[in-house]
Amino acid sequence: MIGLELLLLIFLVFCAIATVLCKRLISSIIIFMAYSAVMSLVWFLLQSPDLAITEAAVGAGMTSLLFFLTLQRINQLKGLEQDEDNTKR
Amino acid sequence: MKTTQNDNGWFRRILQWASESESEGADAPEDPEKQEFQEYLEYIDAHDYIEFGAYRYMRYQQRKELGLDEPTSHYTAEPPTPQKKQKGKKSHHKQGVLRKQLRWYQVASVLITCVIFWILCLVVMELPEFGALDAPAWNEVVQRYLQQGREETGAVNAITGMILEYRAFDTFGESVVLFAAAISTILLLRTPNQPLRQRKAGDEILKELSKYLLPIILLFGFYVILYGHISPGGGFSGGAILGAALILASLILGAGEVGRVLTSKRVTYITVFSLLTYAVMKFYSFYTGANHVGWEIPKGEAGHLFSGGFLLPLNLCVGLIVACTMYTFYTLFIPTEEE
Repeated sequence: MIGLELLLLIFLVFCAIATVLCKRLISSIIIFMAYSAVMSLVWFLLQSPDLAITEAAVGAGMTSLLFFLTLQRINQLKGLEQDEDNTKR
Repeated sequence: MKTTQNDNGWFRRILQWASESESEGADAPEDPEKQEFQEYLEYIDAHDYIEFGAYRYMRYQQRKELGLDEPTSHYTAEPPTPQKKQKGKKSHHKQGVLRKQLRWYQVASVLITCVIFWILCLVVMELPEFGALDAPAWNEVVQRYLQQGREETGAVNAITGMILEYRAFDTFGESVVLFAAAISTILLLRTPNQPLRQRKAGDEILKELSKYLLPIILLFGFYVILYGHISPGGGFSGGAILGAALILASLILGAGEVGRVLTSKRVTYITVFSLLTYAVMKFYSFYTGANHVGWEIPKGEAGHLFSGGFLLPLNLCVGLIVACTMYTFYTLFIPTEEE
């Protein structure tokens, strides 16, 4: 159990650093989602299931959804659409 | 393709120029706007500060004098001579200092981050160990909540008892904050007589998966809300799940389909109704000073849904408010088609 907790905590630190250092905004948001999902596991291991549910729903679900909407709003998802167009051709 | 030229904001252009790196991508040198802006930055760096519009007008005049065919095309002649300084006005701009300042900002941001990281590490070192008996968080409040929480609030789940009974007023305030946020967003972003936003429906994989996932997510959201007083969960987390399910539904079915059922008027009505119900149901608590004199509530039992007294409808109210607020945010922030 201690090993699992250590693994999760190391993954958390790795995710937190990768979120900041990522070049593309969309990949850093996805890494942030992974961070929240692992964080909810850690909450569960710390015996607070209420927080785990809230973290999974709000942190991994709602926050990143709103981030995606914001990216769409400020036209940062355009690169992806261009890639899709290129692959179609 | 027209919009790709405006992809990079001013800020990014300035940063790129400050780090002296050639902009990525093959189309960068062909972008006349970007090149013009870089020339402008170099001009005010070398000479004196003037407005960007004034600079453009000056160049336009020069181009006209030179007799170029297209005054708006890329400008290749020598940069214009600076205007003479007005003697009375003192200029705050030193020449060549802008580039240095921008670089200094980057260094300063790294430094500030390092200092904050160091301070946080120091604080973490000072924290008591997890589960230590002499931790300041372990005091009479926790003992009372854990030992007498069920008798006093009727909730098997101590957290719900805390949120909806001991801290009921806080929860009411949070719900009001959410309601105010949703209302002000509606006031700011919704324009009346706007046609329904039609989005092309999602792709096939999303549709087929969501057919099976959506009912389960909705059911789980209601479960988390309704069983909040006897198992982990509660209004806020369940409401967030419900809101996510609504957003998913509007992603597959198209925002217009869901928007026909849940118009912004109806969503606002639901939110106001839930808030008022919450206030009325907690009124006895607020009125008696949270002592519940003469209003003893039935105690909750594990496994019995209708056992916690008012806790179940209170949880439902909070959950509906949260779900409606999330859905409102989503519907107001989806971009329209013509953008």
